[in-house]
Amino acid sequence: MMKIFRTAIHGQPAGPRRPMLAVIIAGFALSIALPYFGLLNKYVIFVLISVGINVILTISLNLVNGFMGEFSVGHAGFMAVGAYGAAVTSVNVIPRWMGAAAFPTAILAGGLAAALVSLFVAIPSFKTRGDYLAIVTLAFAMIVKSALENMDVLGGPRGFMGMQQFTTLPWVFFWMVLSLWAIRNFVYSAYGRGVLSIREDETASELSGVDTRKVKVLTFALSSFFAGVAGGLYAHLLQFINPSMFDVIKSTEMLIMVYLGGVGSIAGSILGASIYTILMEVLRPMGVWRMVLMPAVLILLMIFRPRGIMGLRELRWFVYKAIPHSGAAAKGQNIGNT
Amino acid sequence: MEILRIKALGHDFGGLRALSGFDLALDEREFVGVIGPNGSGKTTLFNLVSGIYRAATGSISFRGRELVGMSPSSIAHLGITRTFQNIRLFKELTVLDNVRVAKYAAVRYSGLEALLHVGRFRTEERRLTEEAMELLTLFGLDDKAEDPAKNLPYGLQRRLEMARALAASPNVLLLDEPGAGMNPAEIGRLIQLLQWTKEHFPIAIVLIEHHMKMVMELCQRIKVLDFGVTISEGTPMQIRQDPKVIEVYLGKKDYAAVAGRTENTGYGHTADNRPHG
Amino acid sequence: MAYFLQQFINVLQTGSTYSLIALGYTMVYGVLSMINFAHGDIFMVGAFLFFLFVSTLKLPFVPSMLAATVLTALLGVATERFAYRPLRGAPKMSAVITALGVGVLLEHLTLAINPYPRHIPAMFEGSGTWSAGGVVISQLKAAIIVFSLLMMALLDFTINKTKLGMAIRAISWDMSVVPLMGVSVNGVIAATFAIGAGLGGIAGVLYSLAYPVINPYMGVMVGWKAFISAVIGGIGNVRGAIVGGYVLGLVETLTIVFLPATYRDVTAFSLLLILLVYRPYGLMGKPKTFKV
Ligand SMILES: Nc1ncnc2c1ncn2[C@@H]1O[C@H](COP(=O)(O)OP(=O)(O)OP(=O)(O)O)[C@@H](O)[C@H]1O
Ligand SMILES: [Mg+2]
Repeated sequence: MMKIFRTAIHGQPAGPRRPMLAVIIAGFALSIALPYFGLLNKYVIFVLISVGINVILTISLNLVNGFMGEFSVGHAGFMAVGAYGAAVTSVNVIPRWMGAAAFPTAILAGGLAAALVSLFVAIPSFKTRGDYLAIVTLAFAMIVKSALENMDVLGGPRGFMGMQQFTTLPWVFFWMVLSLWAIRNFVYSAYGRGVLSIREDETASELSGVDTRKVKVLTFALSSFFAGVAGGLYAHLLQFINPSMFDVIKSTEMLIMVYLGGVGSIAGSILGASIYTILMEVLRPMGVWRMVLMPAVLILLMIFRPRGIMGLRELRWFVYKAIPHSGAAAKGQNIGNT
Repeated sequence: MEILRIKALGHDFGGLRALSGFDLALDEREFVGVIGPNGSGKTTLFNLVSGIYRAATGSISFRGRELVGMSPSSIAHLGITRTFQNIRLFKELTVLDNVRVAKYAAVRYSGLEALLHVGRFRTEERRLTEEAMELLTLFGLDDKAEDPAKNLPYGLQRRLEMARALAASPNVLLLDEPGAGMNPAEIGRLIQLLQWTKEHFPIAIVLIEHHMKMVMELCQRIKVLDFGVTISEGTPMQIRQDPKVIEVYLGKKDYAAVAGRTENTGYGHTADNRPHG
Repeated sequence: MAYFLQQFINVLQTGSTYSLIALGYTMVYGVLSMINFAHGDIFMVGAFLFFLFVSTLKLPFVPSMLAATVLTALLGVATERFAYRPLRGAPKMSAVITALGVGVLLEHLTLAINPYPRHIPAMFEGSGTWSAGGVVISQLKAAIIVFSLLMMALLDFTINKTKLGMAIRAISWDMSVVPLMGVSVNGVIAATFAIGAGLGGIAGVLYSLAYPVINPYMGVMVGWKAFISAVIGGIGNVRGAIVGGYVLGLVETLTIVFLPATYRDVTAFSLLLILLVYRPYGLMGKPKTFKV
């Protein structure tokens, strides 16, 4: 137990990383095999796909809120841009005969569109912090929603359809692993240390030479990219999207998953998204009262465990260490050690 | 020889003149002290030089480059770093990461290489980490490298802040009351540490301190501020005898310090600065 | 000319709603430096409570309105006591997210109890309209505008001339001085929430008289508009909030006059974004400096 979890961003020798690779390969194989041999019914597959999409959303939001300590509460806006971007690409831009080969292109387009739009939030974040930035992000999400409702080419409030159901379990697994891997790599790099230092003390970070503007732009872009990817996957799962799917309630769900699993933790993101998605499915018989439970959980979390289950701790497998075995550091003159 | 030139620097906060007409020509590897009663504008001076506030009047040039208007991070890149009066470490990060953060500008890999952990990433990270560990070893913090910074005792936190400020390989180091909240024995060790730092690194140091013993022993030159105005400057000996300085400190706790009893003074005054917890 | 006068009356009407609700945002921000994102939903609950008394319990208008106002005020106090007070020392982030959660909770609770939109019965069918020179104003509209203005005047008086108002202003200035005045901080904060939520409840009742179909999500957009009004006036500034509501009403009406009506929300939110980035202290506030 003691050895499994580490305080984030450092750790003992990270241990062999091959088990991680084995888990990924096994997971990918299972994601193909289980549906193929009919070992899972349609409903279970749907739930697993939802878990995957939610993991992507959670790690994406966690990067901004948990790792960087900024304050995005309108993440559904980026998801919406990604969903519409991917949907339009696959329906109107890519010719149909390309079939499933068009799918990754469409998802990529959705992600890039979201990353581009993230500048609208990144730039205000240079000047505003805290609750003001929260309003900026919420207002941004509102603008995206209102703008989509005003665009007749995209179906306006009625929504947009015509996408094929490209989103399958293996694809979701692939994008989920990609998002976790990329964000983990980013966090364990000089940029990632910049991200963490902004959370800890932005002024001290600036004064230590961190180009906080660049770090913020990169972080918002990366985070939004994957929120957009999740939106694209979602659009090609339901084959129908409309602006009100991406409202404050969607953003609230993402917040719950982040603060349930744990801020500033990759393992926590996986945990939070999985627990929440499955719990909501199990509670489906509760009907509309399930929707009452959801915000109640968020309030209780904030009061009693604001950092979540894994807050600021990390699973050893995810930790990257530049020097695998401590003691490799140069021995130098040591003074003042009295 | 001259590295930093400050001319007629001034700043105010809504009518309050916090600093005015401040001049300083700092030579390379020089050690200058800035003293003055509470609220006399010392920290404001550092905030202006490091770019937190944009100076209202005057100029700051570093090797001929004007700093007023530059962002704090570019000023740090150029080679001016600092510590804070009330310690500002990255509390939840490890001791090692506190130092590695400050090496941000020294990194030679791209965002894409960072995202994929390929190319120059691994060798660069190894180099940075080794350099950071070396610095920590010098400051006697290497065995704490993996601890969160918030777990360090107070004295070591101050030391880590200095290590972090040195990690970016600056040419000018600004120290804001590094001795705040320390007892005379700790002050003695801090003096040694600063002396050693100055010999070991090619830097000029500007030191703000209330502990007269430190300023008198370490600094070649001292500037005295009162209500934002420079009321005296000179060698420690000259400052000690300047009636204007004595008058400013008259009736204040530091009076004895300036007037000559340099041994065990100051900490009664600054003990209040020690943060709780 | 008549057209513009007619539009002017519309500005007064929407502006009154925004101002009444904006006061709740601004007062809470004043005492706790916290944005109470649930406030728009308090307004919605006010309308539903009014429906409960007037339609389900068949009470007359005045007692229904009074009861709805008092109960929303109590709801405001309860959210503060149980959701926000435990977080008073916690990071800002926790408080903002909790407020969002309280808002969604109120929406979904109301939804669970009222799965379908409700209709407020028409109560002033006998009331007529006045018209002069082509401008028509219903007596109901006029009454709503006048009553809102009266409430705001009353609040302004309370804030500036009473002991409670002085305590509220003192807390906004510095929370630590209030105990010296022999007043309990928690009491004053509770009173602030009660007043803010009560005004929100009144706004809910008035709004539902003008737009009788009510649903659990009606507070989201109106709440946002009110919040934008508070930001326009400088959040924390009581008179600013009143002015801000009418300014936003004007901006929205102008948008509708010159652009398709659907652009109303986009305009309001864009205005908010621009204000937050370039003038976060609002049109009437003053910038604050930070200390290192
Ligand atoms: N951000 C600010 N806003 C308003 N006033 C400020 C600000 N920063 C400093 N001041 C004021 O400017 C004056 C100088 O402050 P400064 O912090 O530079 O003093 P100091 O010499 O460092 O004092 P100390 O010895 O207590 O650290 C003080 O009156 C202080 O209150
Ligand atoms: Mg100071």
